[in-house]
Amino acid sequence: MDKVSKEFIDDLTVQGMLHCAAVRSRIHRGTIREIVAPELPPNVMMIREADLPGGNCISMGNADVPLLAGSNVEHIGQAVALLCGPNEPEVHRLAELVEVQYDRGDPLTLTRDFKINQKLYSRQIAIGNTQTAFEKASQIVEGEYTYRPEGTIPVGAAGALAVVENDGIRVATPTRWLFHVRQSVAAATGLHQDRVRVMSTRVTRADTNCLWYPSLTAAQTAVAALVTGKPVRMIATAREKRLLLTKRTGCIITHKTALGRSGEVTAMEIQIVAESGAFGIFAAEYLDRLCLAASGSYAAKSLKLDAVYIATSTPPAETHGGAGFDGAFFSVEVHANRLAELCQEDPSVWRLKNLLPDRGLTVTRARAGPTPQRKLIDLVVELSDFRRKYSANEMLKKRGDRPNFIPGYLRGIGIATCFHGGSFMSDNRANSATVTVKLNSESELSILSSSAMVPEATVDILSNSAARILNIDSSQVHIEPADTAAVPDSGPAIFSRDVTVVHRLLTSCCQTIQKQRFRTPLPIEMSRNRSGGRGRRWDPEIFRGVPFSPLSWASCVVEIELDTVTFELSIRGVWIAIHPGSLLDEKRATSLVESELHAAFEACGGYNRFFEPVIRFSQRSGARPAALEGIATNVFAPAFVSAVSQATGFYFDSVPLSKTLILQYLET
Amino acid sequence: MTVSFLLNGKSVSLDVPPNKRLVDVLREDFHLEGARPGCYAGECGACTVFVNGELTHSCLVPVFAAQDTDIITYEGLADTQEMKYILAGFDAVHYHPCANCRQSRLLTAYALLTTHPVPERREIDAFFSGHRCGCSSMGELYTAIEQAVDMRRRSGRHGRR
Repeated sequence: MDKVSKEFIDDLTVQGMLHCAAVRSRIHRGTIREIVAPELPPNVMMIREADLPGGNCISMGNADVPLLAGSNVEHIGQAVALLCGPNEPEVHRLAELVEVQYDRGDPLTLTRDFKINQKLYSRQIAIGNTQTAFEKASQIVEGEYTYRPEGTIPVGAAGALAVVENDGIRVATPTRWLFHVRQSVAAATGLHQDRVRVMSTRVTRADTNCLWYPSLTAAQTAVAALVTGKPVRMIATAREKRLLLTKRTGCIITHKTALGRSGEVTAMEIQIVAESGAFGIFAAEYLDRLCLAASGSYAAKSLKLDAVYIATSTPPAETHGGAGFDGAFFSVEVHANRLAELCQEDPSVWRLKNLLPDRGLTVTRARAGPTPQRKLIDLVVELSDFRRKYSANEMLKKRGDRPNFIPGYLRGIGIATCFHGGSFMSDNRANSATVTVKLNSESELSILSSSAMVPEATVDILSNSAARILNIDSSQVHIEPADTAAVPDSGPAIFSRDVTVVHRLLTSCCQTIQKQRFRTPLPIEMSRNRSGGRGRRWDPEIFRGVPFSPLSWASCVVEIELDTVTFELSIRGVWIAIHPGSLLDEKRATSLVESELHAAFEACGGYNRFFEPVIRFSQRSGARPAALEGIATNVFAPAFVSAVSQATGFYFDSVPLSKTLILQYLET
Repeated sequence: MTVSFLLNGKSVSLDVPPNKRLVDVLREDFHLEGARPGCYAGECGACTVFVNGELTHSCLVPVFAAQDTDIITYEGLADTQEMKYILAGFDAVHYHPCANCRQSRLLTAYALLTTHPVPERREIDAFFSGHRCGCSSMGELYTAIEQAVDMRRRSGRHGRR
């Protein structure tokens, strides 16, 4: 348990350790009548809700998530009971044999006709008078867009190991939010947080952006360790990973847009129904991100937005990709391409005409600063030869005899643009962070941060930056392992916070140390913290102000080819231009964007991920680094779906796009 | 069930449940941890090993199917000159896939360069199509493979196509 930061959780073992398997619900929703266990061997113990020593819930993003289903099952795969025993395959086998008898309820699903008890949060925004604008409009265009991306199974191991000690409990788990795990374990075990020590095992970029699952598993494992009095390890099986860790947020967004005579947007009415599974973890956050991005970067004098966040009977979603932004940009950008087509304009030209002008009023009633979006659109248009290709495809489509010109293939090209923010809009606790730096008498620097090691790539970026400021070799910089007993709380390592928050605090610490190091005797210790809400010009209650600073921006063009015989979709090219403020490591940033584009293609239903995107960064010297994680996800899906729509001549309005769906459209 | 096979050139046999996955047998019974169980569904490629000379996802192979086969894991090739070129190529361009899939990628690169001494990109794509770990980009991989080829060429061990 001492050198866990470089180990995978499934490689960690402790003498006398028990293995834990969860008995999971096989139905989506219902009431538990009885749990009938088979005859258990004497060394196997079953833990039910009544056996829990602390509270039966952890708190995550304003939601209460039960450790074990009490009387009600809220989603498929929810843990109903825990089995602990010395033999791992045996406990999993026995868990399968436990029979849970239910009174089945109707599963809650993502639909516009949701039930009233599904509603968790809602938000209404009204700017100007949409009714008058729609009455005066020369064209009104409506569209409904469904975004339910497919998640992939994370490669890394998931689970937790808990050991009860004299003075408390020690837990190891691969997590991106160390201190939340501690809080959850404390809540579940009834111990004071000071008696809970949490260490993160190795977390890689390929792992899911785990927030809720490690906290819940760690809490369940800790409870099992406390009840049995022995070390307990719980590792997610492949089935559990597929069931519980692939879920992504989904939404149905309806756009109704009023256009003026020259194709300019005069009013927008947007209705959003969104979900992130059971319990509504981070529901308010996702909803606010959806509302912020739902009207895109377009200038509409009047806007009416009605958004509802609902609970569904699926496992909670992890914070993948844009966490709300992706669904919003999918709908608004696909809709924008459709508007451009109806106005018989090139979508890039239509965008340039309709983008919010500098100093224009945003949806949060803040004045927009000068944005690089026009420059980014021009750049991807030029790189991809978008205008020529788009016109050529349109011409071929209108002639209606394309298979004679390009035998066996249909081609299409699509464009999308977005902005992106790298912090939490409504959760101030998740936004706060502390970083501590120590320079010892040997000029060796220690960086103490709970999210510096996640993901691995950040380690080099932070070490090199610190070494450069202090003029020492990067080998003299050590990043302390993520351990609640040793490092301060730096918040969750998602949304590029490692770069936008931790790096900034670290830089500030190092600059202060550099000023003091030749005047003050070593060692010097320096801490910097960022309070979640302080100094922000953003009020989540009334949805006004500037929620993110700085913002990052991107524009993307996707060209696809559809084989008319096999209906195989392949990517002919992806061009993406990003303005991330400034970059700390261009090579790693390129790698991150490329892997995100491949993942986004898979989320859209694609399989052949071997395409080489053209990635360009437009930086501004002296600018602060902005969020990069998730930005490619925001723009890929709308550009891709628009490209497929152009290729086939049908308006596709949903993700994922399966071969079957395309075939169905083409047959009609 | 007693299963016997060649493991990294040595004949081994063990008593094991016949449906235990090969990746688990390699890790738990032989402590060869180069192959990692990622998805247990043949999707991620982290568990890749050679079975009778073919790159195989060992999470999809029940151990009874490995009877009388020749299995080579990353550990069996780690000290070969070929693997050293690949490692050097990866290091030279700072290509560092995550610890989940690193060794299986090295093994796949080995298989690629053994059969295609100067691979084209479509051949790299074909060999790595079984790796779906999103830790690193294909662009980085192409550069790393090209670097490994270059290093081998400079050492005079370049095989002609």
